Amino acid sequence: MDKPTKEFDAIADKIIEEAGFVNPSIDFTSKVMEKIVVRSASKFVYTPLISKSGWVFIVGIFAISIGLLYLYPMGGASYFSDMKISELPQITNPFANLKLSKTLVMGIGTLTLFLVQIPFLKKLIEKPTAS
Amino acid sequence: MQTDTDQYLIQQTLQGDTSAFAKLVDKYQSYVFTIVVRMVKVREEAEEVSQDTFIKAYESLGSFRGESKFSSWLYSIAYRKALDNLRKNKKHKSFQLLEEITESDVGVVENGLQQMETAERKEKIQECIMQLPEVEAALITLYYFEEQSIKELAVVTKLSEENIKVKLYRSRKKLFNLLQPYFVPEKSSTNG
Repeated sequence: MDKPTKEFDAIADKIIEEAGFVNPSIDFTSKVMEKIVVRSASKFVYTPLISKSGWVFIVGIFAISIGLLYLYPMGGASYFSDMKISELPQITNPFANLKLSKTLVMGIGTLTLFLVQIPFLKKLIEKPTAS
Repeated sequence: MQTDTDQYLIQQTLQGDTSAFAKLVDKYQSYVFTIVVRMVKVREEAEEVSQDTFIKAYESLGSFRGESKFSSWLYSIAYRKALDNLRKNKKHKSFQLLEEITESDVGVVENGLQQMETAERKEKIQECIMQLPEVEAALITLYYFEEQSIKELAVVTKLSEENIKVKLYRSRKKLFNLLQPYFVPEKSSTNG
C-alpha cells in the first residue's frame, strides 16, 4: 500500500467537512423521549416473591420455635411409633414384571441420544456465519 | 459547575432527570444520524436505528464508566445498531473500484469542487459518500468529520488499528473515484 500524501489526506478532510451533517427529522428528540417514557413505564419491575416483612415473619417464627424447643425440650416424645405403617396402603411397582429385550433398550437409548442432539444441531445450523 | 457538559448531563439523567438526556439527544442527534444514514443508506431506517441508539444509550447509561468520551461510546452503539440493521436486512453492498486514481486526478477533483456552487457541491459529495460501502462510510465520517482518532475508531468499531488504516485509505480512494466523473467529463468527450 503506497502511503497517502498529506495533501491527499487534507483534500479528503476538506471534502468530508464540506458534506456536513445529515439532519434527522425535526421532532427526532421528542420521538426518542416519547419512546423512552413508554419503555420506562412498561418496564417490568422485579418484586420478590417473599417480601421483606414476609422474611422477617418467617425468621421470627423459626427463632421462636427454636427458642421454645430449647426452653421446653420434648425429649422422649415419639410420633412415628404411634403410626401404624402396616395400615398404610401398600405401594407396589407396577413395572416389576415388565421385561424388555436388549434390542428395544438399545433402540430407546439411541432415540434418546438423537433427540438430545437436535437442539445442539439446530443451534449450530442457525449460528450466523461471521462476516 | 458547568451545566451543559456531557458528564453533568449524564449525572442528571442517572438521577432521574430525563430532560437532561433530551439535551444529550439534541446535541448528538445529527452526529449519530449522519453516521447511521451513511451506513444503512435509507433515511427512514436510519431514523429508526438512530432512535434505537439513543434508547439503548439511555438504558445502559449506568454502565458508561467514562473511560472513553461519551461521543465515542454513543458512536459505538450507533455503529453496532447500524450493522445489526444491515445484517437483518442482508443488505451488504459490494463496491468495485473501477479504476485506479492518481494524485493528479485528486487535484482535478479538488479544482472541480471549487468551481461548483456550494449547495451543489455539498449534494454531490453527500451522494458519493452514500455510495461507499457501509463500514468505510462510517469510518471516513468518524475520522474526518467527527475527528475521532484511529485509536478511538478501534474502540468504536472493534477493528484493529491496521485494518482501520487500510479501510480509510481505500475509502478515500473510492470517494475520489466516485467524485471524479463529475469533474472530468472532457476525458470521454475528446474520444468521440
